[in-house]
Amino acid sequence: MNNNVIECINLTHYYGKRLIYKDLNFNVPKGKILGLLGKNGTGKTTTINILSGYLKPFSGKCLIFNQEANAIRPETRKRIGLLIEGHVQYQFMNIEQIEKFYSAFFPGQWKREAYYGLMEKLKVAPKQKINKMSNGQRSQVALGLILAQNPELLVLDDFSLGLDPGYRRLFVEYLRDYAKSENKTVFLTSHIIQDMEQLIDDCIIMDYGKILVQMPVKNLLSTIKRYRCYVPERQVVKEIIEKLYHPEKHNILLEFYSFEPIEEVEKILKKECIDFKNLTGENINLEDAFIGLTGKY
Amino acid sequence: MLKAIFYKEWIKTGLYFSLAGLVMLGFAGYIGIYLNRIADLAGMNQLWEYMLSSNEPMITLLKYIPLIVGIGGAVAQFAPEMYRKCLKLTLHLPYEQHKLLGSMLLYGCSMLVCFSLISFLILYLSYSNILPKELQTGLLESALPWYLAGICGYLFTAWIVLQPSTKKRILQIIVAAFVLKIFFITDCLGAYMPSLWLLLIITPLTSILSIISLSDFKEGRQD
Repeated sequence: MNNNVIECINLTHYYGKRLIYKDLNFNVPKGKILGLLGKNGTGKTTTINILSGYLKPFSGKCLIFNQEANAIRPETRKRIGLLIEGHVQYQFMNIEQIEKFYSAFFPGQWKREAYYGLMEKLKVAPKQKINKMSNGQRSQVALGLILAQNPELLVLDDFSLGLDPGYRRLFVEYLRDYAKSENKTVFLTSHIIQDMEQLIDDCIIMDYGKILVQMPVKNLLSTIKRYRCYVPERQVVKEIIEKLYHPEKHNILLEFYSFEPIEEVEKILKKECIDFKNLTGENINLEDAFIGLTGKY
Repeated sequence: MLKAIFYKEWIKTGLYFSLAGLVMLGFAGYIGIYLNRIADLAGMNQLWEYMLSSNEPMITLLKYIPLIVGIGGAVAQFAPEMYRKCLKLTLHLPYEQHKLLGSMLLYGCSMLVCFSLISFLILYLSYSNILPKELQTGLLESALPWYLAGICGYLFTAWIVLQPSTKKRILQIIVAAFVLKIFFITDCLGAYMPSLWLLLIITPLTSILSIISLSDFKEGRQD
């Protein structure tokens, strides 16, 4: 039986002549929290737009609950909670009105108390208009509405955009507890990687035009290492070495990232004729792993 | 669902439509009072004679008001949906997307039809004791294309505002301007009677155009 809530098959997209990605494939199994990580312009929002049916891909297809993303039936949309980049909500409504409006579309499913529970923490008046709120407060309104909708799948586009550390933490904690306790599937993007580490089970790291890594965060962090060694000042190091990511030389210090164990790395360095000494490898966090794989530039 | 959609549209546009309604009805009331005043001062016979000889319906002050109200209504209703692509939220609601759009257009058209009918009633009642039946009918027939233009202008503007591509939007403005011109070719009493059926067909057909913009929005079309 197919356990995937989201399936993207051979997705290719261009904006004009610019290739965003080619033959992108990934699945999100039920109950997993998957984070799509990538630098600006690598196609994170493009992927969310395709998934939510607001962009027709050049080729390939995306299935959500086994339905084509651009033709999802209304009954299926009830099962999907969507957070648009920047926590966009109806600016002209107030806290009370927006809840009343949405609740009409989800009879028997709507959890009013989940929304108002979160609003109480914000200490905002029920008549407060959304356009008079800060980014952080708006993010909580958007989250509250998703929690009240109680969907099986949550699609969140750059949830940390414009939030200060307090609201980011609040958002992450609320979301993590909710998703784990209710066995929800979450697909999300964020440009703040440290938030993701606390939240996601699996990650996809994208670079321009391709997926670099797709694996559980635990596996990624237990295998990828940052290596450092000393090399002669005149040592020339190639920019691209197979299995070693983004080698960078600062005077006599050579730094790079790799999934290979230290013994294997030693062999690679020797093969590349690099005269190294004191090679050490260290475990890193998700943000460092992301930078190690995608580079700083 | 329809109730919830109307609720949202009212929150968004209630103030605009209240003010616009007052303006539209105010103009109709003003013209009624104005004609009654002329009839009092100059006499009814002279008023009729002037209207028949000059072929001027004497209500031209009203001419562009329904159109302005209609265009403004569509902007007030659909521009907030396009602000930061809020329309995505609307289209994500668990309701058939064409029905969603249809309900939103129905709300706007209902408002305009309602204002138009009340305006007509005000005009009719204002003239009932100063004009003969034929002139009364002639005046209302002259005003009918302007009110239809209001609804048509609303539907065209919705089509334009919902369009995500700027290039296409410019083309749409040109098409809309040409079609709307048909509603304002002449002010002569009864001149539109033979072709009124055409305007009555064009107006509801314009509502279909918004589906094209919706489809472009869903495909993520950009310039």
